[in-house]
Amino acid sequence: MKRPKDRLHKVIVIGATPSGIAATNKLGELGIPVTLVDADADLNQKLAREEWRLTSGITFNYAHRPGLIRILRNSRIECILPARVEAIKHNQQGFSVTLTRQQTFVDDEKCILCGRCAEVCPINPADPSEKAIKFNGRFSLPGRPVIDKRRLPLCRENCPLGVNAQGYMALAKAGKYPEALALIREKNILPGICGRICTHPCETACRREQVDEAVSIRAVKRFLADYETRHPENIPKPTPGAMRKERFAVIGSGPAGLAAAAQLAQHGCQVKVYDQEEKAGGLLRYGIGIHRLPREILDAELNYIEKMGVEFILSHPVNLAEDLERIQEETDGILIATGSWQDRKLGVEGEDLEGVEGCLSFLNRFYREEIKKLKEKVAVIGDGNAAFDLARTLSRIGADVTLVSWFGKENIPADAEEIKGAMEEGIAIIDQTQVIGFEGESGYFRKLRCIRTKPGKPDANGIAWPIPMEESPVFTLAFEKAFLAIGQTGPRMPEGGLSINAFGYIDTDDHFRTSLKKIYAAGDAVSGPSTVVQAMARGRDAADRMLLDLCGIRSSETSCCRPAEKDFPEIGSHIPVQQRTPMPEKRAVKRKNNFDEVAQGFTDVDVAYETQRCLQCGVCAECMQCAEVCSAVGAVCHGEKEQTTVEHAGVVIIADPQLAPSIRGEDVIRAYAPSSSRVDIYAMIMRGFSAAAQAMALLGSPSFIQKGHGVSFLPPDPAISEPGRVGVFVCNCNRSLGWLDEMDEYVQGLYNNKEVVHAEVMTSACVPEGVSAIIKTVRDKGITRMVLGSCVCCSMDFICSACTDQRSRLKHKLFTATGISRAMVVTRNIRGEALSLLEKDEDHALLNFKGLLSRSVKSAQNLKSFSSPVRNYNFAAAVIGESEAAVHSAVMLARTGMDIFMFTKNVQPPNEIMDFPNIHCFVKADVHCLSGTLGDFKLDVRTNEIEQSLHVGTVILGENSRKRIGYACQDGMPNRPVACAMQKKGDPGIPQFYPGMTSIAGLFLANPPGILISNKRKGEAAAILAAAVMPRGPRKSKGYTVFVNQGLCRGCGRCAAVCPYQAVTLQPNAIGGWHSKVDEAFCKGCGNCISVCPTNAADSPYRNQSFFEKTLEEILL
Amino acid sequence: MEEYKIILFLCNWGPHTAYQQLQDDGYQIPSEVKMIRIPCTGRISKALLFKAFEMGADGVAIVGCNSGACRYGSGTLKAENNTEDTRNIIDLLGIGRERMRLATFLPDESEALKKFLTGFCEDLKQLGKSPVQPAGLQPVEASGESAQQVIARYDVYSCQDCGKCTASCPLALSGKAYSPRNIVSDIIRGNDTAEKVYADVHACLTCGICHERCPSDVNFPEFIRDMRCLLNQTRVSGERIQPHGGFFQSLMRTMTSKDIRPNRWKWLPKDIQVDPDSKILFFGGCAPYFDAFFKKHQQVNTVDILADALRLLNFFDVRPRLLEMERCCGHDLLWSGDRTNFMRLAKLNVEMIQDLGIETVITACPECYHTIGLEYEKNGISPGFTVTHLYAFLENAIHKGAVTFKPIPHRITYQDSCRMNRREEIIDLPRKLIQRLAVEQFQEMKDSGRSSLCCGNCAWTGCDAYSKALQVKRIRQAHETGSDLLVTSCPKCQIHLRCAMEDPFQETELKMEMIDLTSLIARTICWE
Repeated sequence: MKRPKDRLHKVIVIGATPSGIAATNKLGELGIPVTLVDADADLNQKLAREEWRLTSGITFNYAHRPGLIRILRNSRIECILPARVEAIKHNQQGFSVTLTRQQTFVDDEKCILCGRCAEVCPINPADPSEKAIKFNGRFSLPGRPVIDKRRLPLCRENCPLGVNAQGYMALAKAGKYPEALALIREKNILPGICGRICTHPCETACRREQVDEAVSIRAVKRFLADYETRHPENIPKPTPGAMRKERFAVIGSGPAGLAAAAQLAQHGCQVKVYDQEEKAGGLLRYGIGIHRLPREILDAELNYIEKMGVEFILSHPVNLAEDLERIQEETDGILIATGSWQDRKLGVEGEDLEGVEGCLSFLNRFYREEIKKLKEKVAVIGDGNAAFDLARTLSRIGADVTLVSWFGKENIPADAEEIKGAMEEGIAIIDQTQVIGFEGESGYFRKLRCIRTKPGKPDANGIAWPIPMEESPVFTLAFEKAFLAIGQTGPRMPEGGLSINAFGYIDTDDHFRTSLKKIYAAGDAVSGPSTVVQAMARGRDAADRMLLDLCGIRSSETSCCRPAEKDFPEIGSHIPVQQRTPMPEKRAVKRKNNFDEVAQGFTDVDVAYETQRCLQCGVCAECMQCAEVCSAVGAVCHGEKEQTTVEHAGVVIIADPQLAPSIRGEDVIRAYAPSSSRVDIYAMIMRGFSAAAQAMALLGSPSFIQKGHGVSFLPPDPAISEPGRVGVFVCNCNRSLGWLDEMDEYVQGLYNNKEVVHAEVMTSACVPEGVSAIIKTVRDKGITRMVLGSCVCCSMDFICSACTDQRSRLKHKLFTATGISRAMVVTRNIRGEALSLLEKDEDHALLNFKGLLSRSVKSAQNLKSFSSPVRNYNFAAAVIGESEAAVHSAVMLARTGMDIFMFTKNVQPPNEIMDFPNIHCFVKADVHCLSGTLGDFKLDVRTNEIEQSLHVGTVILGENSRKRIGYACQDGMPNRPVACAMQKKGDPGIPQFYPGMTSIAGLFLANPPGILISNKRKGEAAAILAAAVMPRGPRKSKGYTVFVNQGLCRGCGRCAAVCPYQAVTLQPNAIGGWHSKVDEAFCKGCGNCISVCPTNAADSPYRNQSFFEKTLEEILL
Repeated sequence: MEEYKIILFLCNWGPHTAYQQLQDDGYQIPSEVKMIRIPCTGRISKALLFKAFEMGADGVAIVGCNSGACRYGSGTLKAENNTEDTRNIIDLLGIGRERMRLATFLPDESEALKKFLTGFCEDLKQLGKSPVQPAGLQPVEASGESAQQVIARYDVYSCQDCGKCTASCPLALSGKAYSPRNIVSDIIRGNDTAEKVYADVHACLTCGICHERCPSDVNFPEFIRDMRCLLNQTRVSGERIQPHGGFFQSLMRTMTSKDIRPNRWKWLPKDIQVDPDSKILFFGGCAPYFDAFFKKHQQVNTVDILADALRLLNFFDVRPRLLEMERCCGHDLLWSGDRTNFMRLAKLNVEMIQDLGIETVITACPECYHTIGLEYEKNGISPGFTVTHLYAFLENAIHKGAVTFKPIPHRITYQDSCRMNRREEIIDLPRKLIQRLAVEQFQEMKDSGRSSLCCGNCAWTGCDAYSKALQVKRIRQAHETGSDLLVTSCPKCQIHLRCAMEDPFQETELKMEMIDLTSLIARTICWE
């Protein structure tokens, strides 16, 4: 036989359904540690379901809100939301549960739920389920928004630089152009250039292709870069990072060198960029057509980099063989980014003829202005972008250009717009032609020798590389000059001490380190020819490596985290087909004879249209707008990681079977109904209670069950001293609703009140730092009265359905174990009553702000201490009845070790009752009168002609006994049966309570009628209610309970009649009458007794009569 | 245009949640609305609801939870009653019942709440500003007197410390540590600002039995009255000393507003004949307000006294004129220490009555009779008309003969009114009238006539456990006479004694039917 489990004193509740919540609450009240797990992120929203609406008409989330907040504030209860239960396993101590806490990217301890993140988030579609920041309003529990992130968007993933394309598309869509540009620059220091000539792998990867066409990302980038030219005033000037001592040299000012230099400068290093040419830019300047990349754009980008602190040393060739040592002495590290400048050759006959020239070689001469005109018939051999660029450049200086392409027209690898542009400008294309030789005369080129090609078999990437057509005749084409534009090869510089690989490039390890110490190399000089963006990426990465190796700093790569397995939202059929915006171009006749830029760029309207085409694949774009507005609070943490943990617990309660992997075992507690049964919210709650009872029983006879008699006392609430020394703390909630200078002035002006010793405005009061600052100030300045202007509306504990996580968190931290009394605080909902008006009516907001604070400072003087009553408790329980439910109640209570009196009227109780030594059974006992309340019930019992009165602390009534036995809260008052109905819409008079409870504290029903669960479950539910109601230590002053002035009380009994909770009894006074007395433990502060009292004898210390009168006076006069 | 002010008493639960949702949604709560959060609509008494109107609110909304959804069960029901009563009261005052509203919402009904708030604001703007000019805005007229001067005025120095006052004081006799002579000596010693003295000064019933017994003829009640006026010039009056949350003082102060057009005769039964040209005016008093305030708890019906008084006048062919916009006579303000507002009321009433060219004012209320007949003059306002108590008119008319009374199947006893009982010329009047009635038995209580016990309260001031003890004692005296009907002459005696019968343990024992002498006569008088 298996050894019984030695269970851990801990419970895991899976599923925050009403059952799960009910169980958690009860276990929490019993002081048993609980972990509550659910897949939803927000309890409030989860529990607002229509089908869980109570019969009173109130949705469960609001009706049970105080309970939900108690769960959040109970230090023994841990809520893991949202989370996934991966596995549940039995073990000797109970269970081990593997949980994955899912990322929310917002810290619920720090979040003040100001909502600014959601406000600034550019991903803000009409459908709230598509928003990147799910902000359910201030009622969320826990109070924080959740950021919806998916796996890395393909545009970003495919960008060698990792530019956050989705992010800037979103920002541009929201019109936040400067922010969008700044986001690009974080990764790409040459936005204007890349916005024009980048090969845009992002667009190639774009998922919009599945709907219509890729989003024109590059054109948007260009628009943003050009925005700076048009509105320089809106773009912050670049600032070098905090200065560091390290000095670096970068050799070569091409894309790789520039990217590296900028990255180094960004981190505060001193950077010198050497270039042999007169002007910086490398290939960008000496290889790319002006009609594609106007040089003023290049100059502007260089200027920007210069402003970042990069120094350009031009016309300064560095001989890699000889100069490195010298430069090394002056610097802490060198990066070689000299690129790849050798034109690739076809390797065919006649290539050395005069009149055959490489593309770069020609362009170099052209851009150095060695050539101005070329009025000849020329061939450009090649079909990449470079070839077209060259062809169009040649055509602009007067040449009659024919482009000879290896591929067929439809497969030419250059961008479609290049081909189209070239053709429009009158450039002829001869396709499917392979040049197999150059024929010349007198050493001078005259003809191309060619054969025809056809597409070959597609390779792994699907490219059908051309192959010579069999049987093709060799034919010749006559030209005056031929230019080879089929790529580059090899470094330009001689090697020196550097190790060079077989292909002629500089040899590096995986981290850009060359064979020489502290000398790094990157870009085309290492990898061979590539694209601008690839070269930049390598340059930047090399710089990062140098920063790490030589400065010991990890570059500020964003520490963002994305859930890799969470896929993009599906591309639904609701997305309309919208064609990609074509790039407007200058008409061919107007451009073909000059170097004006061909592409004209997008307008605002184009950008608005194009950006809204972006599918926002990653949902959250990580544009960091939220993190920025939250910086003062620091709740947004994009780097949060998913965590999988194994939790151990003695007991597992499954309240939602959907969330739990299936597990067998009799000791798995299941608090859910069969899926076929009708949803009955009250049955769900009772199931939760019953589950808690079973958990309690499984955990064994615990130490928290008290026996015999005892007192529950209220430790004296810190008495509040004489009026005076007021401290005013005003929270501006991270200025989320705005703020006025006059508000600051007003708060400072409060010092003019002689009693005000402190007045301050704080960014957020409810974060840990805020609370500790308040507590410190109260202590340091001897503050005896406090005005707290925040979102907190009352200083009490969970007394209404409008309390929020933030409010309760602040109150909890401020008043629990700090010695600061709730009694000394006047709280005002400045956020709701004043700040929320700022948007539309500043004057009104300011008026309210001043009014609320000035009234508060005055009322602070009238605050009174709370009372500290002591109450007697009898810890025995009585179960009256013989039904199945009553028997189960008794058994369950007995298993916890409580002392039970059981009363049966007719039948002998079952043997299982008799087996418990702690149940005393009165058989054939007639309980004919029941009076008293929690801790002190009196039962008048007749057994065998003996009449006796028994006292117990709590009573469970069977249904028949309920109908039969009259109850009076006080001896001598008329008695009547206890009501058992639940609140019902339109049916006044019944206070809110949970099934199994009654309006009399400590009196429970074993089988309340009309609830569709088994009697066994009902009985168990009643048992946990009875067990949990007993105090287990000192209680806390509620602060709002009513106090009756004995001298003023006329003993008319109106208060006792109106009290829904039997909190009022009448005690004899010295002059033959009586005065009423309110039991602090039962009063719930509704104040109905105060309003019926004819002599103002009843009043509450919190918001008392004079508070209301004064408030009215001050508002109205 | 002056800004509208609307008080919104908002229950913590359903509607407050909805309200916060509105705030969160960025909906602008109308700037007229001033929200006061309350734990439950049942918490707000009629006094607080009315207080808002006294302070000049243009509208008051009490907003709670739907019926059946009140967290505490009965709050909404309580609020419905309080709202209805308050609406009736402001209607009598001519402020307009539409200015007071009750509404209920569930936590998720923020849209409906928004509609309600905007709708109420619009409706109020249609109604216009409240006609109430808060009395609290006007300065208290300081008399410039000192306690010593008050002492000197009533020659309190002549007190011999004999203790007869304490020995006769009904409060002291009911067990309260209370002594007129100690109060006097405290004040003479200059302790007049002490908390205890303030409380004692306000606890006095001003019934005058001590004055009756005083060998030195110290007029203790009037001394107390003037001391109250003096003390209340320098401190906030009323906190916890005015029962019913100070509602009645609040009501009377509100009546000092010139622009309100009270409606207090709207309930008048059709059979009553009045004559707008008559030189005789019937001054009714505040009974309609008392009924509106107390009906729910005590089934008080004191307007019957006014109707019966008018019927009696009609019976003797007098068709009096009524003062359309009659205000309170001011008795309770004066006797609770607010002379400033008493004077305002007095002047308003006298001006209105004089404008009508009235020669004789008849009233059935002992306090109106005492105040208009004596106090106005003493405070420098010459009425220019005579004031007659209805009893005097009746005695005179009945004396002429030809009337008789139907038999009354009750054994009766009689509760004196302090304000009449201490006036020589009318002390026996009610008894003369009673003697004419055809009752089964008339038996005086143990303490009657000059020794009569007060009903336990005066001017809605200083009610407490001892007042109750005193009242219970008085009711027991009534029962001891073997009577089954207690005849009163002041509507307030009825209210206060009825209040004392409200008792969870001895209600049946204390219960006794009560009727005002005026009604008893009106209902049995007939021509021979």
